[in-house]
Amino acid sequence: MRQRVMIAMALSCEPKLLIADEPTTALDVTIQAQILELLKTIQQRTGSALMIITHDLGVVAEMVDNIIVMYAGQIVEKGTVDEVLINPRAPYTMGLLESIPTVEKRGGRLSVITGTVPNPFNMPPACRFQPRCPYAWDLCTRVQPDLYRTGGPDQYARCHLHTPAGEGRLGPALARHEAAMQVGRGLPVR
Amino acid sequence: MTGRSPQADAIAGSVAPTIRGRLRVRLPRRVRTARGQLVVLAFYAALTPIVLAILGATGGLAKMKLPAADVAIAIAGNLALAAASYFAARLIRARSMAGYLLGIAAGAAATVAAGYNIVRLVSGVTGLTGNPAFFYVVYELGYVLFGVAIVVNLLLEQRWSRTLSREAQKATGAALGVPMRDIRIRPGNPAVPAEATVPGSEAAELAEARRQSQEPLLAVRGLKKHFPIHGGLLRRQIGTVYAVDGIDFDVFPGEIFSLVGESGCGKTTLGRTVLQLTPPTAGKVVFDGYELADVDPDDMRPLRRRMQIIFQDPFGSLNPRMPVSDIIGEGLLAQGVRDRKTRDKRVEDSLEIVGLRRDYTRRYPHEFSGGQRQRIGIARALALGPDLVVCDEPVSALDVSIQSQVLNLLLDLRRDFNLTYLFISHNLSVVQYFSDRVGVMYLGKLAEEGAVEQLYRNPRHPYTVALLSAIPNPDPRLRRKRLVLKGDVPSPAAPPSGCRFHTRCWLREKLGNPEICVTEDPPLRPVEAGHRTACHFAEQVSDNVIGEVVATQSVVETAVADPA
Repeated sequence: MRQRVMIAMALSCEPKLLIADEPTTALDVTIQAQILELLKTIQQRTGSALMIITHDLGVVAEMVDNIIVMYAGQIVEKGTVDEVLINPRAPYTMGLLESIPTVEKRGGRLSVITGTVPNPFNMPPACRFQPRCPYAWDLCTRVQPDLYRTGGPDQYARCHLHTPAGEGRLGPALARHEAAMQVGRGLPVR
Repeated sequence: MTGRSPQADAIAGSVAPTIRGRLRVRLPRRVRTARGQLVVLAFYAALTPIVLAILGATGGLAKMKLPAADVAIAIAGNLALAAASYFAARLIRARSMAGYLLGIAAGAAATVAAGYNIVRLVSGVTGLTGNPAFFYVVYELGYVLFGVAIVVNLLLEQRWSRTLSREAQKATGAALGVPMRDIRIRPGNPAVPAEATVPGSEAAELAEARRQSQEPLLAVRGLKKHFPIHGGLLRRQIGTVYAVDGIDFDVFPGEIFSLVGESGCGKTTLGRTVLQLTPPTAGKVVFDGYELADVDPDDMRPLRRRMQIIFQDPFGSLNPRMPVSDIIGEGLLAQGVRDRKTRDKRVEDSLEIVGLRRDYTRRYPHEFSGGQRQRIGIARALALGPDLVVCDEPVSALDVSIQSQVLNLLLDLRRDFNLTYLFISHNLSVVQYFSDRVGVMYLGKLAEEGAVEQLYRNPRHPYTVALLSAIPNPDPRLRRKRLVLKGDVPSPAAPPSGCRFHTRCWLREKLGNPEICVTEDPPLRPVEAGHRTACHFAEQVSDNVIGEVVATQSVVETAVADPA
């Protein structure tokens, strides 16, 4: 109920842009479904733009067209939701998707991203994800990567794998990610 | 946030003890935070002898008959006394009555002494007050008394808590009834996954047959836990919260049984009641053949060792005043492991098992991240070598990447130590990945119970269908229209009549609002091997029906409908 009141407050001035900051984090799953459906319906009716801030990739997959993935204060991946969630190009996004428990992964071991988020007072020297990245090499400790165009037409990823310097490493990295996503997938499910 | 962080350590790659660390004496937290105030007090106390020394050295002591100087010193002394009283009042909290009274008495005495001397100074009575050094001595005595009072209070506080745990130990009686299993780290290959459960109806029947031949480790029958609501002028009982209202299920050795439900359905209360952390209002809990309500309190202790709990909140479940060694060792102490070396070794072993360094025993909870604190909670549960572990939403407060680390750890521990989990969660994706059997709770009762595959592929209760439909899937190719429930969850203090779900039930609406849903509470009945459901119309739940309902529902109107 309270969340509905908040949404009403936000819509009362007919905004062109609606920013939803973790709109369903504190809510139960069935209430979350209600609120998400409500947001979608209203957004379609009013035609306003909707920006959702969340850590729940499921919510993102249901609701949005374009996605930006952030890590340690930087954008690490950008693109349409189909591009980023089906074919992620930044190691952080890959790690996140691999570590989500789903029923298809039963019987297999969940992939993890080792380590923890860096201390903002003590960021790693170049690439901020490098200490936790399974694909890092010495370039990643020396040079800060930019957002490089990769994959789909609008997809960008902040990773040296997508530069000429990472030429031979990109293929194996993507293959490894693909294998990790297939863990447990031999089991027949609905 | 403290300056030193375990993240920085991890990135630096080493945890070399710093100079600061080596010098740091392990004082209790109260004394450490009081250090600042003690320094101020010491300053005021030292002020007087310093002044005295200067005056004596410069020969001014003989000249100190001037009332102005005396008055100035008297005023300064009283200001200092006031400051000291303020700090002492902050320090001496009423944890120990004796210390508190002592502090008050000391403060009163010092104030009286100071006041007395001021009066004498002002009224110009010579005699004893001829010697101004007397003032300094009296003032200083006041500070000294304050300091002594504070220190005595702190010491009394320490002894107070030690006495409590010693008494607890006495109450437990002699040694352990059941010998503790040694914690051995099995050199397993972590890359080898835990045994996969192969879905398929015949495998489910086989598993069911195997289960039936075993004795359940935990059997719950008709469990109820009601909380009274007090209110009104005379604080009488004006209502009851039916947190848990008649639950039956079995948990077999080695399996992971999950309890799923939304907030307010009573699953946390159920977990705590099963462990007898709160006594049940009605019903039976049978653990390994012992009916827990009938067991003597003295005999409960060995049983308690075998049932442990991991709490939800990694920030609230660890006492911030205790170092990790005490947090994990407290249970061992309560179970009668008096030898410090044995305790320390077990504590370090359990830390190593959960993937933390052995030398973390001296650290305090605030020095760890959320995931690490949850590991400490797991180590605490594991240190006693339990058989059953109740996991009360252990990963809900953690990010997805840390969540997967903790889940992997829990699976490894189950394999290595033959644990049984009662896993309570509201996160269906985690439950589907992690558990063997699932019970779905709604408003204090079980709506459905069965193996994970059965529930996932063939849900037979409208609430389960809605829950499954509501899980957001991170794969955008699997986007689908979901089934949305009307209204909010009713309050557990006023559950609907008959079937508790009938106010929000889409199936009831589809079937034209049959009366039986309002008048009769459906019993939990089997629909296939090992799969039970509490719905009068369970047979009508099918994919076709669900599809029709999803296609015709109107979202905005469902939001407005209020639960009857």
